[in-house]
Amino acid sequence: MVGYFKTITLISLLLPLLTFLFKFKQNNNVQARVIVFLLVYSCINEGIFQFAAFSHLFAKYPVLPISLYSLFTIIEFTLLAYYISRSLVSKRLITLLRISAFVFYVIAGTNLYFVWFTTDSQQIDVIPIASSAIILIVFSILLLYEEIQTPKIKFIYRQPNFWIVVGIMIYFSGTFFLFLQLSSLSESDKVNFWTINLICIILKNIFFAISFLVPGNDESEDDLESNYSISDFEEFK
Amino acid sequence: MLLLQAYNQHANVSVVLFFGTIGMLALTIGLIVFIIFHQRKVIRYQMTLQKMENEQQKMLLNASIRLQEEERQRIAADLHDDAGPLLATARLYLNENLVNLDKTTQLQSIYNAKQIIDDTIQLIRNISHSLMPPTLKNFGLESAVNDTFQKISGSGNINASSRFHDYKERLPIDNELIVFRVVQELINNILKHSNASFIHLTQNTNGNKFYIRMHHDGKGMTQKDFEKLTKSASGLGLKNIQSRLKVLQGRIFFEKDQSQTYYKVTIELHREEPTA
Repeated sequence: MVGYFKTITLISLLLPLLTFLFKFKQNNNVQARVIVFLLVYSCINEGIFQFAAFSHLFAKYPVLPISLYSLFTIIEFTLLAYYISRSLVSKRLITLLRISAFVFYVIAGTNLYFVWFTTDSQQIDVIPIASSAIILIVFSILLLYEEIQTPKIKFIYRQPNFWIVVGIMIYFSGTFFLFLQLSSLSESDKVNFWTINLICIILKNIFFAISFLVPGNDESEDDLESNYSISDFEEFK
Repeated sequence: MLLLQAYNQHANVSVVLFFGTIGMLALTIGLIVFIIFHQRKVIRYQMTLQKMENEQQKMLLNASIRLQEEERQRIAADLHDDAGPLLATARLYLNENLVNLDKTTQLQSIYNAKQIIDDTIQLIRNISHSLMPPTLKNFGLESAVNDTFQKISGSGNINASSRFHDYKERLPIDNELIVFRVVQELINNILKHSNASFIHLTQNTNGNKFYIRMHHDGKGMTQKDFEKLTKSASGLGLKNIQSRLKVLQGRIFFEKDQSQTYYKVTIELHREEPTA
């Protein structure tokens, strides 16, 4: 079952990348490139894991898997936080995100120190993952709140930002408890519950792919009359 | 015992993980759905507002077009019914001179023709004055309003008075004409519908705001009545007031005096700061 999900997850990684290439003209902006970079890095990281497992490098260097995980957490957080900060308008929120990011880097740095220089921590980096999840979920909510506050006459789900943020929120809220409890799980439970992570990654990739498909922010489309008619809303009355 | 405890602990962790994940996902999905529906609601509200505003603007535009048409028809009727026959008669008298060679008859017909031409000149002057009152053009809003109030008071039916407290600097002529037309329309309504025994107009300024306030003791209306009438098919005069004031970005406010004896109408305009 897990193997089946793992295959789908790997295939799902290609979905947003292909949609990005398919709609390259529309998505030729910094924010989209940040997400693509994250996806490419995820592919490379997966490749390194497969190669290390195949070459028995994990047995030779026991800190290698945890180092790779920690590095992935830091890079993933950096890219997503950068994405959110580029999307935020409020300078106060951007500053707050920067402060939160600094706190995260301190936590992640301390964690790496314990991984590399002490033998105490050989488990997955629970605290950096949990803190990155909390920061990204909170700022995703704030970003959505900010989006609906600004009087843009465009449905929120017609914006690429929305789908990226939904992907981030679903992925991090779905895997939050998993990573938090991972060290307390038995080996068999770890394997079973890892399916949650795989499902969340698949969902995240689907949402990222949707974000590349929806049309970008074209100002000319922000015309109330040309976009909608009052009858569009009748069903929601 | 230890094995059992360990088993229970693992079971608890699994339960926390399972329900925690479900809970987090439910919260996230709930939040996203809430945001989508909230935004739809806001957009629907904005659309309804915009639709209402468009309808209101359409009504005002129709009212102003109707007013223009009525004004044109009135001028056309005046020219056709009064000036036309007068000039035709003058032509007849002058034609008579060509036929009749009697000197006395000729002089009489020239005199008659002159009289008719004088009447026509007066008639055309009246039409012209109704389009742009000369007092307003030459002496400003204060004189034009005072003149109008004096004429009303002179009729003896109603006591009308006006007082400008702070009008040293005139408004632009186009704006003065608009304000004057609004005042005329208001006076017209008071005379037609209110059965008032007095009208009093005062003018004031406060900073860059210009106010004209009218009091009368007849049957008046409140802001609610005004808004209701401007949104209905009737009330062309009120719609004209509204569209005229919209040009000046002004406001009008109808209310009953605190003493419940008088009705008040306040016109508020923004006076443009003189550019250096």
